[in-house]
Amino acid sequence: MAVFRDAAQLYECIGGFFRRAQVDPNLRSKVAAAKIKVRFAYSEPEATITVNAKDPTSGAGFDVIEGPSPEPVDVYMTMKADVAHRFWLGKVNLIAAINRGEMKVRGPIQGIIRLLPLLNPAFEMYRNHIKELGYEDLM
Amino acid sequence: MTPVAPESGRATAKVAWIDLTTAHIGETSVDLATGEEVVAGEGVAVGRGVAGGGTTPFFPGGAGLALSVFLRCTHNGSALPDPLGPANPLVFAAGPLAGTPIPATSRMVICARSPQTGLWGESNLGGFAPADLRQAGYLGLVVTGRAEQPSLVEVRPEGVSVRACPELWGLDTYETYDRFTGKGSGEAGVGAGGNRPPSVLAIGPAGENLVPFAAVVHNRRHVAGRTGMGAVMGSKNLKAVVVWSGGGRAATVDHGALLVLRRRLLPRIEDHIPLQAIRSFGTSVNFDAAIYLGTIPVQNWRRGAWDEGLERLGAGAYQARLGDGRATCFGCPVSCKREVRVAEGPFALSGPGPEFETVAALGSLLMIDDVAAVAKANDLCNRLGLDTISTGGVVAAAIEAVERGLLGSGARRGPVGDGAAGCEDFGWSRLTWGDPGPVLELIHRIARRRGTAGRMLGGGVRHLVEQLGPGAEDLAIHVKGLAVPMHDPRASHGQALAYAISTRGACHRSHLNQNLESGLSFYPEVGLEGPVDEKSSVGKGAMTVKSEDLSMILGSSAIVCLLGGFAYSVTDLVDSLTAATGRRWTADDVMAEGRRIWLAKRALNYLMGARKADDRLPRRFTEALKEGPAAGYRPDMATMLEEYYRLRELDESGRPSPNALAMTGLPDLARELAEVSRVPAVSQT
Repeated sequence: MAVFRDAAQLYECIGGFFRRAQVDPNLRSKVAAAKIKVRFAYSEPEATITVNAKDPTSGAGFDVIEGPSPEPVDVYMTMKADVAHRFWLGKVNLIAAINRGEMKVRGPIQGIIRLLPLLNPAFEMYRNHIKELGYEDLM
Repeated sequence: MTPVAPESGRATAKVAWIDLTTAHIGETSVDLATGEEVVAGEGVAVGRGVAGGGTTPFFPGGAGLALSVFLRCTHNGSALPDPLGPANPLVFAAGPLAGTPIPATSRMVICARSPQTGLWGESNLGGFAPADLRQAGYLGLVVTGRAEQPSLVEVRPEGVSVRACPELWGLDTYETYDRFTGKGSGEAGVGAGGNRPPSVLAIGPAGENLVPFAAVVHNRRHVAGRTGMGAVMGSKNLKAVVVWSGGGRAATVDHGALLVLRRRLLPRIEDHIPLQAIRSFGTSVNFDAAIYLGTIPVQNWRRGAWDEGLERLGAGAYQARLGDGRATCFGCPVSCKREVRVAEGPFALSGPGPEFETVAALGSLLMIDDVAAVAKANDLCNRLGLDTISTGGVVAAAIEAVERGLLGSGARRGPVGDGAAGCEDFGWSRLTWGDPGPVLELIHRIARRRGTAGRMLGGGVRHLVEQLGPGAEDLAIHVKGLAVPMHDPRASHGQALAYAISTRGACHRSHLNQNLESGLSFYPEVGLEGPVDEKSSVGKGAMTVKSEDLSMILGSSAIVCLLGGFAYSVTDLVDSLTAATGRRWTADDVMAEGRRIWLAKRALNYLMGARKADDRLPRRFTEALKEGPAAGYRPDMATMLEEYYRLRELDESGRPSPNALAMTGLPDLARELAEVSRVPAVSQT
């Protein structure tokens, strides 16, 4: 059974987590500095989130756009929603997941690499976010 | 004469035997399919067949060839050689794939008994020399004896010669290189066939002064750093080996098949995401990956996090502050090497930049967060011919010793405390975390073993801790004398086991645990599949046995670069070896021969004094970190070692089973080990 019951719950968890990162001073400035537009396309359930740190319109350093978007992106990542959830919980090795095809990446890798050192603090933030939403059962 | 694959379907390559004492040079010829000599050279002074006695030759290339030679030279009734004595055979051995169209295979090993560990010494490097050696018709060079004057060995397709070069003694490795190529010519001739400048493998002042962790530096940027092969060269009065390829083609059985394989491999390398990252940033991108994985060492392995400092050393900072171009090894599309430039200031330089290991060893390990300072320290180590990992390790131990009052004028005891003569010639109190100035000065002193500081640190971290005496034991961050590479084993438990039992001391190359645990590559054909939980100790004994056996061929003998090789499968290796050598290799063959090579190294180390008690991790790694991604984790060494010993059939003293040795075609070593009653063990502080 998939972790998220539907796209709405995925947006609440993962989308909400990205929005939370927008207001974290440390993560916000570093994601913004990457100046990259990344789209995450999830399956089971189907959902799409675009993180735009290239030409953001909001004052948050980067935009978080939920749902399909026609705009071109620099990096396009596809994965099952379960993999994304376990990744943000810190339970999936990113490099292994890419090598094993659990995460597929299209586009220049440079921008993503620059975000690697941010991941460990982000994991903690995701765990807290899930807890605060009352979804301990998903952990 | 241009060496080419013969029509008969057999490919051979020469091995030159150079006795520097007598200036006698002999040549033999080795069949790449069998490893057997097909032409016994006139005047070869040592041995009874390639490997000696009843031992079947090992894999023809890299560490396999070096083992065959070492056994031949040392198991003819003579005692095991002193690492810095003339009888210690120094072997330069290319892999059989070097100089062929297979990408990421221009690799060679330099082997001898190590002055740093007293055990099997092996150092691995890429660049152009391995390809040039093969294209000149040679698979290996064996250097014994000691030249009366500083000398160099020159290799050309026409033959090998030795000549005195007293004018080069005292030059650093860059200056030595420039003498053969003209300053600044670098590797500009890459791909230009016969016009390519020669490959130069040189030692600097560190090798001349017999620093036990002296490196061999090739064309300024490719370094055989580990286990002190530079000191072995220095002990032989051998300043450099210079190789002219002649623009020929490496002898292989089926060049056409190799071209087909190249076409198969190139797109896979191109599409490989981690290799794309390495192509973009160089190996410094591993720094960012290691932050994420929690394996970056900080402050002599005491801390698991240092956010602000690590960010200033990461790939983005490196590229922005230093980036000045890329460079590569022969035939490799990855281009992981970096040119760097610092325009002005105390760290001004232009030239090859530091690799990942060095950014950590001379950066985060010492809490130096200025990547330009790290580049300068790297430049100095390369010029002077020092292993950067060992240099960082011993300097980190010294800083901590000063901090704890074990070293310097305030030291409570020991040879450098209480105002002992000479102890103030450096000014230890200046040596603090994060200050590059005194570190740069120490590097000069270490390479020349100048003053008390140079003598103490120039012996390496094990020597330093022995000098410091009781209370300093936990500063001994080494295994069997070899300083630990820059991957914290608390975040990578297979790495912890591999460090403890590696055949050359703490080593990140003699196995594939790092690739497996970081997720960079898996080898399902031999049962090495992911995912692997890097912070678990369960099953790591079995994993390590397989990954060592594979690595003995893949990374040490064949030899595929472990970076470029991320994209290779065992099938790729097997197909490449079959096309190059003419022997129909299988995955099982690779694993069996890898196991045999591992057993022989282990047996030799036992004869040289290594025991089970030496198969252990530094104490610091048995305590969990309090911060960072690895916080709270400790490798379960007892469980992993028990599993590993059982699978390897090692007895209670760490000795390989005579039966296992005999079954794998090593009857001579089985007999010798059976006769060992008591050999003093290498002691680990």
